[in-house]
Amino acid sequence: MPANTPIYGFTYPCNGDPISVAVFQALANQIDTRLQSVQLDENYALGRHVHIASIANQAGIAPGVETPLTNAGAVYTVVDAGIYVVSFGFFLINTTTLDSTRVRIRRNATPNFGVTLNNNANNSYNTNCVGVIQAVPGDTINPTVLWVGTGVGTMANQRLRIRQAVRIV
Amino acid sequence: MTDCVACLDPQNYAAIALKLQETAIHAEECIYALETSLREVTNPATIIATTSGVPNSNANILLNVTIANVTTYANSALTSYATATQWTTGMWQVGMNLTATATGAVTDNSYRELYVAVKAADITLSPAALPYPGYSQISMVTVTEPNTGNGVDMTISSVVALTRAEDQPVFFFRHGNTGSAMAIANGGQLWATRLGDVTSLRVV
Repeated sequence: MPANTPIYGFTYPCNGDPISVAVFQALANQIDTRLQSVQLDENYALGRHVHIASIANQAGIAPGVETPLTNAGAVYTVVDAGIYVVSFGFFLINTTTLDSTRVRIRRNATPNFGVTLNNNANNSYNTNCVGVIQAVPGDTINPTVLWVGTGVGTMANQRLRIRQAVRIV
Repeated sequence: MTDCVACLDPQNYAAIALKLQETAIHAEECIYALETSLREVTNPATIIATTSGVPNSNANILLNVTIANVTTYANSALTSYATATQWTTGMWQVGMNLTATATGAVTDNSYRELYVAVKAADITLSPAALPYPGYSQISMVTVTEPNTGNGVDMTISSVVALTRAEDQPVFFFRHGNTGSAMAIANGGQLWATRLGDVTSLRVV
């Protein structure tokens, strides 16, 4: 009776088994199929999703309203299920007065993490937040901003960086 | 594959069956090693946990916020963020985010600090302050309370080297809100993903 290797089950003849070209062909096909699976793993390893966007300024942001950032590059649509490391840098400017700024990174409509700034005495400055999001295809990853003060603000120096850390197959 | 499988000599065709067995086994060995390495790259050890039941934090007290959490994702033997014995050596990217809200009066412009550090085995989990013996690779972020009614969101991330068994990353929170204690909301995230081995360069 033919036997099989312990892990992938490649079939080989044993003592007394007839040997024909079909035996060679079957083993070759089994190995070839397994190599195609390895090729997929290689593609996954080399083809990790990355999103790097420097986003144009978004003006007209009112205080007291959680506002999604929408300029090109601010919304990332997930292609493959996985764990994504997300980093977002920003700078809120042009307000009349500024007490605080909060940015949150959402998966779809749900905030996952964020950072709060105390802009006491109307000081505006660059900052950054970073976290992870577990997502499935079609999910969107998008920052929102909520600020307290007066006037109308502009989100500037927006830098959204997303790296797929783990692929969930 | 030519490194793994040798060709038959003309006078040895009687051993075809044995050679096919060897071919199958050698092919499996080669493919398995390659597949294992690729899977480690594609799917590095990663854990995500959410805070649940972190005790309230009194002013100017360093609070370990790692000990009360629920794992929501784990793809390796590391299934509990707070269990030192489950961490493997290597380079890890670790991070935490949380929302801290005063339970009563807000002390305007008071500080909020979030720390990450690597704790060595057999070291107390209750340091009075950082730096502290047994804690290394310390990073910290600070925000001050704007007192605009939204609490404070914080994030921190760092790359750390776990070089010995039972080294583990830990996170601490401290604040200066003397008006009341602060609550760490459930649903804050602790996360870690392994980047690779800690490699020592050889000096020639």
